[in-house]
Amino acid sequence: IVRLSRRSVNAGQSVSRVAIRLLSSGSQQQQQQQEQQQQSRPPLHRDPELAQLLGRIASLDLAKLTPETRALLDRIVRVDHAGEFGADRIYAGQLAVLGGTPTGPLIRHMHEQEQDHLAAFEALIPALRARPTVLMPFWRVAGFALGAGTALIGKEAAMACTVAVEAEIQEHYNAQLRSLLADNPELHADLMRVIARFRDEEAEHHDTGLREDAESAPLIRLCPPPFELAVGLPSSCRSGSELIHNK
Amino acid sequence: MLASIAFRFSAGSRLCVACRLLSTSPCESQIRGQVLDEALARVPDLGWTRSCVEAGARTLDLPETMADLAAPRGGADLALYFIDSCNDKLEAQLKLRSSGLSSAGEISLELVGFACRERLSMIRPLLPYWPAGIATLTGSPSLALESAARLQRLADDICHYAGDRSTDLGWYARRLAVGAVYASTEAFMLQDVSEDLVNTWAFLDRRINKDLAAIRTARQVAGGAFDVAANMLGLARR
Repeated sequence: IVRLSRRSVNAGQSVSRVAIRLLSSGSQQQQQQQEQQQQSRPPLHRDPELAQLLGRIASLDLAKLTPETRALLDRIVRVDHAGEFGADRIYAGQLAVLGGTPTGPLIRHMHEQEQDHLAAFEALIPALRARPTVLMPFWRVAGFALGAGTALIGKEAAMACTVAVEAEIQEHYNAQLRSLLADNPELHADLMRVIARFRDEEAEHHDTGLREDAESAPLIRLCPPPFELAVGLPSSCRSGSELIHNK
Repeated sequence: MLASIAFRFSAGSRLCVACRLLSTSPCESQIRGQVLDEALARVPDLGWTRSCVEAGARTLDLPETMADLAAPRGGADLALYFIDSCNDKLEAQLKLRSSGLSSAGEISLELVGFACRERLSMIRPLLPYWPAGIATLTGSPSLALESAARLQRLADDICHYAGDRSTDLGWYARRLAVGAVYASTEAFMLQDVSEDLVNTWAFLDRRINKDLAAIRTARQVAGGAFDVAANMLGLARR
């Protein structure tokens, strides 16, 4: 389990390391030179559309932003990075248990999408000079434990966990979109596009989880409301069952 | 909690000093910069005091009430402006030096050494008076937090332009290490009486080669705690 988790963390990190290696001088050069260089540099992300959006976000001149905008971007990138890292660990935990079962490929596909999201935010942290979260070791352990624990209960419980996580993440992304909209819609257009795209992919995961019998997970109605974690990782049973009851 | 406040300050301190404090137009911030630059030239005579800032305003034919706008907290704001202007100059130099740098999580110790030497050299003109300047920043908890935020910003700039791209606890470990190296060398420099500060530069080289060698590569920093835990649980590969 340790080797598996290390490998997936390293895989995610190596994508981002290759992608952000040449970002250091981006902010100083002019737009034209930047575009020319970006054509010859390796892309910021393996997805070309994301690479283009991330490149434009990375080329923001941070000195011209107001302190409130800087603080907002810093907070958003940090929280999103932590959230995607937690989601990545949760799927890794689920895969450690359910990797060989028929749902393995599905979970693996969702895991890969989360790793894409994580790579995007890992590229944005140095680009926007944001501070990463202090709680990385905690998310690493807690996420993996949550994923593996629910997977050990059963496939339906793992799907219920997915549903709850994705519901929480969607709410989070929507709140961030609202705050970006309130701050400066034109300036944050690219970042909003990225977050909206990720939110839609999380919605897909959420619907996939529901399709895969999350509702029939054992004990789902008996779960006591656990305390909410600071970054918004799921209060799994509560929000999952709330969602199902409200549908 | 203190760290979070300091970090919040640091996000703001990255802007021009005046824009952050006064939220004013570029014209007013430029005037503030001119007043405080003139005041810094008068520190040897008048110390880090409000009267020094007033003298600076007088030199520019501005009313002395400009001192209230330029430095509301008197000498402490003058000292903070000195730190900020040095940090801004250093960042401009680092941007030029690091434009060709590409890294895979490694930081360039040469650039860290260069940055520390440059930044410390900026204090040299006011070196005999700098201990008094630092003393003005210990007056209140908010000032202490603000000066800690300046150090955090400095360490962040140095690490970033030296090539740090880490997104985990290594980010914190490196900035703490670089901040500690800079702060200890600055403290050493304040009491150094050697010719041309050779002892300070030797101290700096020793600090960098010993303290920063451990945080040079990302793999070492990030994986360290994980390896310890894995060893303790008997799950290590070796």
